[in-house]
Amino acid sequence: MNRNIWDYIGRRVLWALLTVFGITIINFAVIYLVPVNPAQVIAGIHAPHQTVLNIERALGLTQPIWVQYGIFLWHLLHLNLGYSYFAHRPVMQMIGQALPNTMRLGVAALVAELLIGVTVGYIAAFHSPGFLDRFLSIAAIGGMSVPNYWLGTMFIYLFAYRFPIFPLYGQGWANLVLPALTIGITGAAWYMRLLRTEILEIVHANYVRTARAKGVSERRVAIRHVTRNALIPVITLAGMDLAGLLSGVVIIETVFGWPGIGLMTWTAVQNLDIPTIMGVVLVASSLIVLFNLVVDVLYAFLDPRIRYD
Amino acid sequence: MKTQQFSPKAVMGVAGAVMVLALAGCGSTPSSTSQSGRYGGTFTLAYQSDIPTLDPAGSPGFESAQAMYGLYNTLVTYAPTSTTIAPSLAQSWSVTAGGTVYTFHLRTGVKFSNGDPFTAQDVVYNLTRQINPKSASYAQSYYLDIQGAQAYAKGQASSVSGLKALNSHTLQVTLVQPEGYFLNILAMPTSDIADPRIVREYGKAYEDHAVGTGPYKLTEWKHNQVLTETRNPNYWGKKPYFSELKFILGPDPATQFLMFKRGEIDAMGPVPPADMPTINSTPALKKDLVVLADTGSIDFYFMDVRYGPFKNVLVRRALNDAINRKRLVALDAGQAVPANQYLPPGYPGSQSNLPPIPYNPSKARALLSQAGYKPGQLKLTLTVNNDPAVVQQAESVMANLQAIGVTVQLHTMSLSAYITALSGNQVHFGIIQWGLDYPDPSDIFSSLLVGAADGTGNFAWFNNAQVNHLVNEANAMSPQQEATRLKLYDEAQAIALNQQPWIPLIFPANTMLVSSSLHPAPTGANRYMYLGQLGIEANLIWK
Amino acid sequence: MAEKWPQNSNVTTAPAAVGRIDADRSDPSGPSPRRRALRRFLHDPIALVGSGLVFLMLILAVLAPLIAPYSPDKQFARGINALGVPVAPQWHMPGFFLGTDSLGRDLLSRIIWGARVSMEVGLIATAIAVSIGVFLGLLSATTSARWSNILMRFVDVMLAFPFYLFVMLLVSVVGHASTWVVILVLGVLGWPAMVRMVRGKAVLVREEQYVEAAVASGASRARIMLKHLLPNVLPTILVFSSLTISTNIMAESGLSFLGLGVPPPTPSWGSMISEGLQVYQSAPWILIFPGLALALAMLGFNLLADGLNDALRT
Repeated sequence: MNRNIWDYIGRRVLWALLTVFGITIINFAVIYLVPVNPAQVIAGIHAPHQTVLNIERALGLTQPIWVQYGIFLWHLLHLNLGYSYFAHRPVMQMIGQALPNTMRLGVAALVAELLIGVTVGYIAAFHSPGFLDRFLSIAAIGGMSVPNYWLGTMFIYLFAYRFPIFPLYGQGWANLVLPALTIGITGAAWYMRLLRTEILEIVHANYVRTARAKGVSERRVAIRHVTRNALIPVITLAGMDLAGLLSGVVIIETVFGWPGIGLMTWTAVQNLDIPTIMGVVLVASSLIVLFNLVVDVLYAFLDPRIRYD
Repeated sequence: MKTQQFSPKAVMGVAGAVMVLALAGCGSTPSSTSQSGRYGGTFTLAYQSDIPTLDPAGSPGFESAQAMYGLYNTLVTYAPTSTTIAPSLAQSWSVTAGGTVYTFHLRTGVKFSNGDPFTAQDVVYNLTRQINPKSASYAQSYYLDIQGAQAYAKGQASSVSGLKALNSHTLQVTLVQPEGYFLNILAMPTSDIADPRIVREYGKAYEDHAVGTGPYKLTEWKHNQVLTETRNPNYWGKKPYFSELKFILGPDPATQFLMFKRGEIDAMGPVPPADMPTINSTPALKKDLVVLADTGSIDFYFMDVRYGPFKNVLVRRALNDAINRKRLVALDAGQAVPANQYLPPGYPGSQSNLPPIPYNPSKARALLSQAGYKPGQLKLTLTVNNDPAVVQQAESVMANLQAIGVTVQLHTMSLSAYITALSGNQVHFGIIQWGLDYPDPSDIFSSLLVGAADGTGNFAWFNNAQVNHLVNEANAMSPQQEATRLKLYDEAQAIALNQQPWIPLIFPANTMLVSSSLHPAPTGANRYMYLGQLGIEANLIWK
Repeated sequence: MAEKWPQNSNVTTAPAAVGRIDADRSDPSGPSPRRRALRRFLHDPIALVGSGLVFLMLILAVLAPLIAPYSPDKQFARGINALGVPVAPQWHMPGFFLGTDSLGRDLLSRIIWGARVSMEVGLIATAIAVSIGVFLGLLSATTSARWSNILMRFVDVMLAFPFYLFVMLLVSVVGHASTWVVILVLGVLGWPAMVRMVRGKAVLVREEQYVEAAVASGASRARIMLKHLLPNVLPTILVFSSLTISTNIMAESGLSFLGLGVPPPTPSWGSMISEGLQVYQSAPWILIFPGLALALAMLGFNLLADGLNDALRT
């Protein structure tokens, strides 16, 4: 590899770190604009000032904001994200428990999205133009027009209660099906439309015409040339999508009571549990930045035409 | 107690959330327990959030108390189905004539669930821990009337002089002044006795290893998933029926209802009003419904009497007469009582002969015009937290007020933002959902109705010299003078009800579903607050 | 996509959806591209259904006071019984055609007024996001490489934010819930993806001969942005806007579901669905009809985007 690429990668990594750092600063600033005093929330509405002050001291809230941010950074250097104000546990430990759950759900959801999206997209593209293509396109758009929390609740009622195929509540593998399916149905349309567009585009492109001219059968054209080329953007989309899924799906995790990063975020934001919010922000933005970085770097290696400015 | 759809807190603020009305039973074996049935089995419950803490000094609220009930004991507790104090870890006690010195004779032979012996020093340790500012306990102020507590809290003393272990099984507590409700405080979950050795050993991580003297011991706590307690072989009292209590953590009330219908959980509560129509129309569920009217909680709106139109008592009376409280009860699916005073029914000091506050819009309009407001002239902002049930209630009140020509703007905010705004005195017209911490009028009157000077809790800034005097006098009376105390509180309430700094709305009932494969069926006369209590105190047993 | 926040969806899909809008623009033969696009649009059933739905929603929003049978805030005494049970849909007039909600209000009237809130949030938030996005995108395409780089790095930071968390925090910054806060937050956070897309498009156009000629002849930057670049990125903007309107409507309903959306008693589909989700076992109509209204509005804007995309592509 030439020097340019390594230079480029080095700059990208540095930039990724700076991005995460910038995000934590902005987030810290925004937290302090939210008119909630966590110590008062813990103390309750009729606690004397002294009690509130005790709690503020114990939480370190009496210090100036930049000192608090400094402490956050100092702890971070020691791989410590502090203690949750409300869960009374190290945030690191909470993330350690929530992240695997979110990963399981994220991967399952992505699989559902891909299974539905790619299948439907494939069928639609190869029946285009025609009734089936139009029908599937509308159906896919219909899927993305449904609020996911609505769909999730209906799934619980129908497939866990009315027809008890899946468990109502729990953390097992069977519990993954309904939330993954909810995300899958509401998210598959993006894949379906992307794949369909790509396939149609490639079908009209020159090299496919050439392949046909050489007498290769329609089917083999479809499978060999079209699919392989059309899947690349789909995989790119999946990579970025996964980053979003892993950084927590707040509403779906709330609906299903799934103990992942999303539920943790929601609980923390409600009470302004600052260490937990900061921990979640750090993890989530790092994941997004990391996935973008990986995609960019992969491109740099795969496609020499990219300019590294 | 209202459930917050997404909030880990059941009621406003932690302190207000904790309502300790337990059935005693510990040690004293009621004769009704000679029922047929078998020991063993798991009693399964569900909560919509994780248990926030198992540490008595960790600001335990409603959800925490549910799970802590099996793990710990307090020095004293409540006698079955009543509000009278009964022995628990303290077998007997005496109070000096002045009402300031309490001597507790502790039960002998009591062990913590890990086998450690229980002594008077452990009680001193636990109560001192509540006062220590480093513990940052929300309940610190409850214990500051103990002699020397203030000095210790300020770091001027190394121990609390009023807390003394006379010997390993005798404890002496000296108060600065008599306090009519001190024993009630010792029955609160913040007064639970934890094993000091374990607290010291694990420090901040204590609650994952919580050890007390209760009938159950902690065996598993997977946060946000499940918490299991198994029978404590070292328990000093009556052996509990169930060998295991299991708390499923996370499912929201709607899912809990489905789980209950499917038999996956044995009890649930409070039942969301939205599910009441289904229950009322399904005989099998109706049979399992337990409605506990005496829940010791009240929903009311306060009016800042220093603020604009609320300075005028006529306006305050007009707003009170404008509210259709029956409609508010309907919104709770009938599971509430219209409020006509401040003390919940069935509680010490509550007046059973007071008439209801009439729903009288025309009188309200007349009062308003008497106060000088033409229709449409009075504009108010009502602030409430964004719990769906609270918001619905507020929308209904808004319609009532609009009907008498008052324009109301509704501000909704998260519970945490609301608590902060309240404490910052930014709310002049807002809601309080209050659950009594202990069954004594002082918990409402001295927390919310007096003390406008120090600016905490009295959000109406109601400052009536007579009421202040009556309440303070009653607070500082010894518990032996119970009847006189209650009379003073009653006089104070009568004055306040005439001045109307609040709009009392409803006394919400507590509704539970308890599986009919368990018996005996708990009745409305029983005052279980926590589902967690059911398995221990209601003598529930599998059929 | 994981969640229907505008950010997620925009980032990943917009390039795919609008990537090739005017690939054939340089083809000089035949009728004007604009006219061809219109013809394609009018012959595309998907686009027509989409426009029809959008038109219907706009009519409901504008004419709500005339169409709605009752005031949306009127709590009827007969609207609920003593145990709080609302009235089921009644098929006679005058009655509660779609039933009442838990407070005894006419559900049909609230759904009609709800269109107004949804359209307000969808259209205004999108207008804010698109204005900022287009301006910065065009600016970055015409400014020096250095400033352009700084701007795009900032866009990177914005895109790496856990969007839902940021929205929840920002909405809480103004103590109480408010429609305008929701609109502003969605609008102000929605632009970064637009910048990326507009810039990508505009950079290509800028390199075309006639634009370079204009630059060489000393045309001002504003003139180049408005006269040469904007018309060429307009198709991208149209398709993107339509998609963003639907994601913003969905985001508002998601915020309402979490209790952070439009404040009561303002009728909003999101809060109506949230209420419906609590009572659907005994009063399914409170869930079904607002859900249907929301789904139709979303479908309308999504189909419109799809139709625009197809029509403007070749």
